Amino acid sequence: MTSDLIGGIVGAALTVLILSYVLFGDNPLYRLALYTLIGASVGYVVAIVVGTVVFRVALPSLQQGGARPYSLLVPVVLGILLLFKGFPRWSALGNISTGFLVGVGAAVAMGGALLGTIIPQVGATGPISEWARGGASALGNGLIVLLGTVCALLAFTFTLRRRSGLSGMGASIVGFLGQIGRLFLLSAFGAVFAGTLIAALTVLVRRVYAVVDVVLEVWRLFGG
Amino acid sequence: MISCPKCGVSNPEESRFCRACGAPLPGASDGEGGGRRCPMCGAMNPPDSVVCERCQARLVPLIAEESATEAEEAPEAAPPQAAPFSAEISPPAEGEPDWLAELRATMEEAEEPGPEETPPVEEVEVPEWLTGSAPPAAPAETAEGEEEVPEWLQEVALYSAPAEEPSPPGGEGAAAPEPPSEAAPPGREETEVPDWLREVLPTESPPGEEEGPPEWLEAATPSEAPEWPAEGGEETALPRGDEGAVPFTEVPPEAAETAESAASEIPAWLREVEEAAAPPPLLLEEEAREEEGPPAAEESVESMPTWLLEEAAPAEAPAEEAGPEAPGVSKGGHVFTSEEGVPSLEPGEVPDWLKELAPPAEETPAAPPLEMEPEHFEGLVPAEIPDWLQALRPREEGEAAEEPVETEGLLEGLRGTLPPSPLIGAVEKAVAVPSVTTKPASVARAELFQELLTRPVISPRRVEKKPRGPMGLAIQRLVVGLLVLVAILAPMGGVWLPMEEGPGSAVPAVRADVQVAYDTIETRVDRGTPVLVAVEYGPGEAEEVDLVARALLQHVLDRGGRLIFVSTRPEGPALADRLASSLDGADEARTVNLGYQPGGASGVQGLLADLARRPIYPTGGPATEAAAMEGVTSAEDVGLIVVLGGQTEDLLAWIEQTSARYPDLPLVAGISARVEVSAQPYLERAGAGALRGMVVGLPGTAVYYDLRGVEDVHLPYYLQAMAMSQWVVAALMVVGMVVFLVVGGKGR
Repeated sequence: MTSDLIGGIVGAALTVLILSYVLFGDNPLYRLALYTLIGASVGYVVAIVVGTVVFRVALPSLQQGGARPYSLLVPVVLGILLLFKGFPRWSALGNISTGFLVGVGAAVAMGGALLGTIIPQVGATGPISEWARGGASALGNGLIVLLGTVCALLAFTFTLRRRSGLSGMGASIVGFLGQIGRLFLLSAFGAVFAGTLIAALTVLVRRVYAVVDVVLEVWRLFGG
Repeated sequence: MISCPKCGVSNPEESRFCRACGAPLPGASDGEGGGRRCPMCGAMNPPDSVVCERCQARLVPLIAEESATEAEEAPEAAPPQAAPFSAEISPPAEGEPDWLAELRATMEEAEEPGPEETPPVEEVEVPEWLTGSAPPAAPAETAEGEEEVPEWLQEVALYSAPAEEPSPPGGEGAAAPEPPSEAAPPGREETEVPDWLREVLPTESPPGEEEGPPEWLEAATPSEAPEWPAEGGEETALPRGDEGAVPFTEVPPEAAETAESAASEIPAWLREVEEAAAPPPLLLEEEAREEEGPPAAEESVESMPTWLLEEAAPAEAPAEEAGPEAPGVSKGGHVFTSEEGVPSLEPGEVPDWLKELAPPAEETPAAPPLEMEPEHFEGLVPAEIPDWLQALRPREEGEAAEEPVETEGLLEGLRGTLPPSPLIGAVEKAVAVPSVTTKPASVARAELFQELLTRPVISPRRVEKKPRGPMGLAIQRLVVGLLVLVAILAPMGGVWLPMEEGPGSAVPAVRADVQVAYDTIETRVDRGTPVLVAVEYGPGEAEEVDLVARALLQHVLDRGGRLIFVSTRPEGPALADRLASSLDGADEARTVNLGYQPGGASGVQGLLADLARRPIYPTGGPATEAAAMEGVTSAEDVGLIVVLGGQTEDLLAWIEQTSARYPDLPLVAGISARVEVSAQPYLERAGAGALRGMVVGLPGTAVYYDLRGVEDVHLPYYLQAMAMSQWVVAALMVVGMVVFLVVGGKGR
């Protein structure tokens, strides 16, 4: 019996325990498998963080020093201050490190979102002339994108009509376009749900076939 | 009209005593057959009655029998006392004190004013009980007054009339009474004085004790005796003014001597007590009777109310010990003489001495002296005043000057009214209270809330739901689970669904994004080309993404490329190792795992900027020592980035950071089906230009294998099982919606 087979048997057993939720709902076997998965994941994550970051990145950097050892002063101090977050009385000292991390992360994310998402997406929409040059499909695609964007924005018009200054025909048009926007939103949510369902079925298919493979392997192992 | 045999003043027919001198009038009797008159209600009672038959008031005071017996034996031996009060102004005698002369002059002036000066209004202001105390101006007025005032009070008024006459100057009723007659009817004393009153009368001390000082005074040392008798001399033998009681009338020489001796025997504290007690400034008829004999005194006592007699009773014993009473001093220590002949009874107010007679008299001798001579403080040690009491001490001007001056308020200008306190100064300025304005919307909400509160409570209709048994839910789950499981296992039983390329085919139609990904690897990866692989999925997505990853990475390895694994998720390094171990040709020379990089988007940027300083997973050695890292220090040295992701955030972080800093660096994604919708807008063919191509899930893997011409034994089963399970799930959703619309709608 190889290690792969043992791993396969354990995996198959855990899979069956998880699938027991389908028949029996919340049950001890399901809980056992669930807590085992969560505990193993958390333990593995802690081990990776400590082993990789602390012992293989931070400490070697401090020991070696490098050409500019003073450059490590700021990270070390910020890291020490961050440890005070574990003590409620002194947690305020960790706000500096937290602020540094959040600020840097927000700045990086904002720059990436601006240069990698907003500007490219707006540029990809393009002028109407390019839609016409791209043919009927490009024009139709462009119109759908435009209509969907505008209607989806109008779907979030939750303010009172009297306060927004809309009345009569204008209010009716906004209400109608908002309904169309809701259809676009439902379509998007349906697509996301479909993708999630396909992913889940793929995983289920793989696990079912893995269990079948393990059963066949064990069957063959015991002379079946 | 009955003329008084003593003073000659005319009295009404029904009078029993003289209104001027209080002497019993001839012809007056106690009533039918004699008896005891109730001092409270005036009703006549039999002589042997102790309690009034009408009001139950006590007729006989509570006096010891012994003293009563002595009182009966004493009248003959009673010493002459002060003369009765009389308004008659006798000519000035030699040796008369100045104050007596001035008083005499005042009395003479008081008789001179005419009738027009009489203020008639004062009679109206006098209370009822005191109206009888004034002498009746006319018989008719006297008759009216007698109807309202008890007889005993009228008799008291008759006795005090001579003292009040000087106060209202002039008037008909203010005629000077005739001098008291020395001849009192002898037989009248025994008939008018009841037995109980004889018991009340002061007993006369034995003759031997008259001259000597009282026992309590003998016990006192000579130094303790008051000094005023020695200092006064002959002229100040009698205390005058407020220092003692002075008889207004002429005092016989014998009585004067007795008064001097008695006054000298009174201790200083007792005199001060008498001063504080404001001795009644009138001479009771008792003293006038004493001049005539014991019967007159008995009549005065008889006419006194019971409470007044009880007031005098407690002081009887000391009076007996003191021997002969001092003139002008009663048994209780009260002086019943008028000061300078001015009556103290003002109309409309109760005299203080009358108020003080009501409470028990024992408080009088216990009163401490209010003022003491300095020598009395000798030997006394001042007590220590506690701090809190010292703080309450009135401040002197010097001390108050040091305190701050109040600058505002009602105490402005005063010093030291409030002690300086740090708390007062702590409040620098008041907290501004924001003005509250009620908005109409708030009012409307309040009204609505009030309406809801006042609305009658209606119990909601109970909706009976059919309890869904655990078996029902279990059956549903079992049915769904079995259907899906059958659909998954059906391909193993030879059941195949038709695909686009014909029955029995497991390959779906070729998709453009998969083609672009394949073409990118074909064009960008050559032998030795470093490819940065981002493993951004966890164990939950591993069953799906591993298929895509193997297809892509095996293609890279087949093209001769090098794989550099990195991850921003802690689970990534382990999955990368497992993935590398499942690839053909993924030896150490061509693959390296740089492990986990924390920081999210910042970590991605850090990885792209510096790859050479990363440690190797799991050994921890420097990345520069790995063969796969040869010539690679940053993302600029790699030919392709392959992102293997199962979450949208991870994929977008790589797309954004790569396109922002390395827009020319191609990026291919092998992702889960759940991320496909989010990744579509970033495809290069859509115009965004960040993502060259992507392989999504099991269908994309099948297409990719088909493009590469590689066959996988398990892949067709997976595709058929997934396709059947999708149909089953779709069918269950449709059936569920139909059941909900039909059954669920009826249920509601």
